[in-house]
Amino acid sequence: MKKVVLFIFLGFFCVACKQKSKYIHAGAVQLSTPSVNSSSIFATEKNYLEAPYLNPSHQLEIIHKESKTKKIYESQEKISLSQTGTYQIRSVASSFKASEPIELKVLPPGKKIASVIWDSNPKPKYFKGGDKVLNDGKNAEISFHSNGWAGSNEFFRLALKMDGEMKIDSLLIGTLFNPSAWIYPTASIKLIIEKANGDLLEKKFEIKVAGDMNEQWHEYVTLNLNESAERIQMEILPNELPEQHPGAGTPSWIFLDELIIY
Amino acid sequence: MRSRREFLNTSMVLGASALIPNLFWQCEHSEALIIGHGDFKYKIDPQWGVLNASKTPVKDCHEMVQTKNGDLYLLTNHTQNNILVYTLDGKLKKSWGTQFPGAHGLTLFDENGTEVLWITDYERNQIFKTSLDGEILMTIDAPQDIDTYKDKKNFKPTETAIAPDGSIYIADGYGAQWITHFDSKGHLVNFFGGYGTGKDQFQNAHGICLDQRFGKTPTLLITAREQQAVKRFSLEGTHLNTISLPGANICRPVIHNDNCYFSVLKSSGVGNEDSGFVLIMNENDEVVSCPGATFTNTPNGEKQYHQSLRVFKYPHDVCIDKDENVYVPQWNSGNTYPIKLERV
Repeated sequence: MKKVVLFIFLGFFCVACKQKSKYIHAGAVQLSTPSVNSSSIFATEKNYLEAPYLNPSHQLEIIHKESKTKKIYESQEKISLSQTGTYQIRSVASSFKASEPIELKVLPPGKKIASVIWDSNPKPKYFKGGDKVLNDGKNAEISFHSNGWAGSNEFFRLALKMDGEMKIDSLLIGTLFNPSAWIYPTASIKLIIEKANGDLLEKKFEIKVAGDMNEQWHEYVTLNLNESAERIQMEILPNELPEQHPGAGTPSWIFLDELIIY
Repeated sequence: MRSRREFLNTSMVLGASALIPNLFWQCEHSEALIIGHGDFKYKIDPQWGVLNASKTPVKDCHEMVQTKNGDLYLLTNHTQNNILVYTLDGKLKKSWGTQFPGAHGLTLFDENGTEVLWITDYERNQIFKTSLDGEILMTIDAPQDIDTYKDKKNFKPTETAIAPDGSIYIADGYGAQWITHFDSKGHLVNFFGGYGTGKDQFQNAHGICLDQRFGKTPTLLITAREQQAVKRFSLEGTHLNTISLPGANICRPVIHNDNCYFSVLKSSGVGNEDSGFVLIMNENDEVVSCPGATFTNTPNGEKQYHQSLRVFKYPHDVCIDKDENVYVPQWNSGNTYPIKLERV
C-alpha cells in the first residue's frame, strides 16, 4: 500500500514538474555578446582587455585559441593580452545560455610606418578620428559611430610612407564587418608600390569578407606583397553590396581602422 | 530469495528515486524568467498571438494599438494582410489590408466617439486615415509647399500623432526628417525639425506622440532614433528639451497612464546587432525599467543602456493593454508575431 501511495505521489510529481510553462525560462535565453576591445592591437604586457559594458553579474570566458587555454574572469578583473593570437571571448552566467563568442586578434608588432595620409577630398562622413586612427596601434570600438574608424562608400586613396625603402612581406588592413549598417568589406584595391629609385609597381587585389548578416566584428584582411617599398599608394573602390544583402546593387561602406605592415 | 514482483517494485522505486534530482533540476529551470526592474517586471509569453503563417503571414511587425473594446491591432508590411486584429487572448479576430507595402506607423484616434486609425506608408510616400474595418477615409500626400517634398520620394513618413482638434503631426523618419503639421482637413499648417544634429533637428525622427499627462500643456515627444534621444517640442514646433538615452535607439514613444514606454530597436555596447530591449520612463523622464537590458555608469556620469539578454530581436513598438501587459512587435525578426510581456 505504501508503495502504491509512493508511486501515485511520484506520478503527480512527474506530471507537475514536466508541465511546460508557457513562459520563457532562463535556460532558454542567451546572454548578449559582449562588446570587447583591447588597449592595443599588439601583444604586450600592458595590453589589457576592455569590456566596458559587461553586465556586472556576468563573467567573461576567454579562450586563447592557439594555446587552447581557457579561463573565467569576473567582470571587474584586469585581463592582460600578452600573447599574440586569437582570443575567443563570451559572456557566461549561471542559468543562462552563454553568449555567442566574439573574437579579438592580438598581433605581433609590425614594421614602422612613418605616416599614413588620406589623400581623397572631400573627407568622408565617417572621419571623426582623422587619418591618424589608421596607424595608432589601437583597435577601434566595434561601433562604427566611434572615432576609431574612417569609413567611405566612394573611391578613396591613401598613402603609406616608410622611413626609406624596406622589405614588406604583407600589408594587413583592419576593417569592420557590419552588414546591417551596410558596412561590408568588399572592394577592389590597387596598390602602387614606389621604390627608392623611383620605380613603380602596380598590384591589384579583390577583398571580400563574408559572414552572418546579423553579426559584426573587426576583420583583418592580408594582402601578400613580398616587395620592397618606400611608399605605397592604396586606391580603394568599394564594390556593390552582394546579392543576399537588402542593399544589393549599391556601394558598400568600407570602414578602415588599422594598417600594419610586416 | 526475492520474488520477481518484489524485484520490480524495488527497481521501480529506485528508478523513480533516481529521477528526482533531474526532475528537481527541471523544475528549477522551468521557472519563468522575469525581466525588468522595480515595479515593471514581466514574464515573457512568446506563444501569444502566434498564427498560421500560411494563412495570415507577417513580414516586419511594425506597430500595435489597442482599441476601446480591448482588441489589439497589429500593423505589418505583409500585403496579404496589413492589419491583424487580435483578441486579448491572442486569437485572430479578423484581418484586412493589402495595399500598404511600406506600412509602418499605426496611430489610434478617437474622433468624437468613433475610433479611426492613421497608417503611414513610407513606400507609397503617403499617410492614410482608415476606419477600424479598413475603409480609407482620408489620404495625405507629400506636402508640395515644402521644397524637399517636390520629389515625393523624399517623404517617407514613419509615424503620426493626432491632436485633440484632429490635426495631424507627421514624423518623416525615413525621409527628410521634417515634422509636418496638417489641420484635420489635411492642409499643411506648419513644419519644423529637418535633418541635422542641432537640438531641434533629427537623425531618424522615427516616432512621435502627444503628451497630455498631468493636465499640463500638451507637448510633442519625438524620438531621434539614431541620436539615441527623445526631444520634446511645443505643438507650435519650438524645441523644449532633449532626453538623452545613451545606447538606446528608441523607436516611438508610447504613453500609458503616467509612464512613457519605448521599444529600443538596438543598443550600442553589445556585440550582436539584434540588441534591442524595452525601456520605461516615469513622469520625471527617469528610466525606471529596461526589460531585457541593463545599464552601465559611464565615466561622464551618464547611464549607458544596453541589452543583456537576447530576449528580443529588433523590437519596433510597444502596446500596453489595460492590465499593463506589454506587446512587442518586432522588425526583421524572421516573420515572427509579437511577443507578450505579462506584468508580474
